[in-house]
Amino acid sequence: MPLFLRTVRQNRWLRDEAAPFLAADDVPADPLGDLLTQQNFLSVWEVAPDRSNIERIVRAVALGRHELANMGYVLFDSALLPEAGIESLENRGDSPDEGANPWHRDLRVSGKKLVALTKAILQGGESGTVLKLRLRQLVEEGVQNSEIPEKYRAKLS
Amino acid sequence: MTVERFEQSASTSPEFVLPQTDERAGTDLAPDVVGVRLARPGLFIAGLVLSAALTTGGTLVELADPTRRRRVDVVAESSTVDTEIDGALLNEVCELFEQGAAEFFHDGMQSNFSRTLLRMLAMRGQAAFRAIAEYLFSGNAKPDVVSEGLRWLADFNDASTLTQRWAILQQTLKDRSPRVRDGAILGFAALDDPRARPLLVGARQLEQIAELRALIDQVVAQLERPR
Repeated sequence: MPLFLRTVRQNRWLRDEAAPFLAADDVPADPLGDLLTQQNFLSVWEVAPDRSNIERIVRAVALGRHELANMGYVLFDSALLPEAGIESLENRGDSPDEGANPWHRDLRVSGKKLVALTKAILQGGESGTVLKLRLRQLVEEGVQNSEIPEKYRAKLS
Repeated sequence: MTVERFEQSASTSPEFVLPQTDERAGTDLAPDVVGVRLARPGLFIAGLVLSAALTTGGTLVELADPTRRRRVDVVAESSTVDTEIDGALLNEVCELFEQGAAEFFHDGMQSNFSRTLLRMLAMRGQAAFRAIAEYLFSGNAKPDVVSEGLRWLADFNDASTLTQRWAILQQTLKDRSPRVRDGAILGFAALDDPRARPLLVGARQLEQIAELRALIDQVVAQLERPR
């Protein structure tokens, strides 16, 4: 099953930090803040089997932010979703990177399902960060390769 | 890019020792902040001392303590150590960080906190950094806000405050809060100065959280890239 990616602030997903305060079956609350939903859908991205599109996905999301900065993310196996009762919909993304948009997915969630997903990510997922300097390189490359519109070169200033 | 699995870390945490020789080698960047070793960076005294160093250009020197609690002293270049902080500015900083605690920060997104912080840094420069250092090490600061603040202040493009920014990051790299350490690591990534490598390598050896070790590896790789 493919991995899904969600951009987050990575330091809210440090499981060790919250562990001392939690009951065995509980989850920390802070990560939930990174899983904002709209119309009960959670926006995620499907990662290629060889993970080769992770940076491109993160770049696509980063272009929608105020400025280029370090971007954290979590990865989780989409096989976790049926167990949590979460449905995945292949809804195209609307990022400035048209090549990345087909990888976008919407997860239909409820409050309980979101907590279950958070728990599953913390237990079996991974996290990482694309550093700002690397992101700047990616944006430069993206403009040069015409993967993203020229106007996003302004993000580099 | 490194991906870190969520796993419990089995590493232990020996006492933090900075590689002072490497850190100083060939650097004129942060000569006045070398040699800081604090087991409890949240202690108020650390803030006072750091502020003093930032103010005077003095050198922070560790004093041995048989109880293993750390003390620091300032060897200033002048005989008088001016630790005076602008009280009104310190109040502004306190207020800013306390209000910032109510915000939820996202990567790449500005906030009331970040906008006000940058404005303060632009207007007050070194005095603002002194007040921020004072507040950060007062023990009252909330980790999320500190982490956010470190990201922004490290990225503040002003050569005249580089030494101050370096000192704050160096100190917070040893903070007890993983979130603060995360901000310090990313702050050093923003400085992008290869002379930070020994600091980060030392911090990695003591870091108990796997994700932060992986983050340090990324930043070290960035610093080691050909230029």
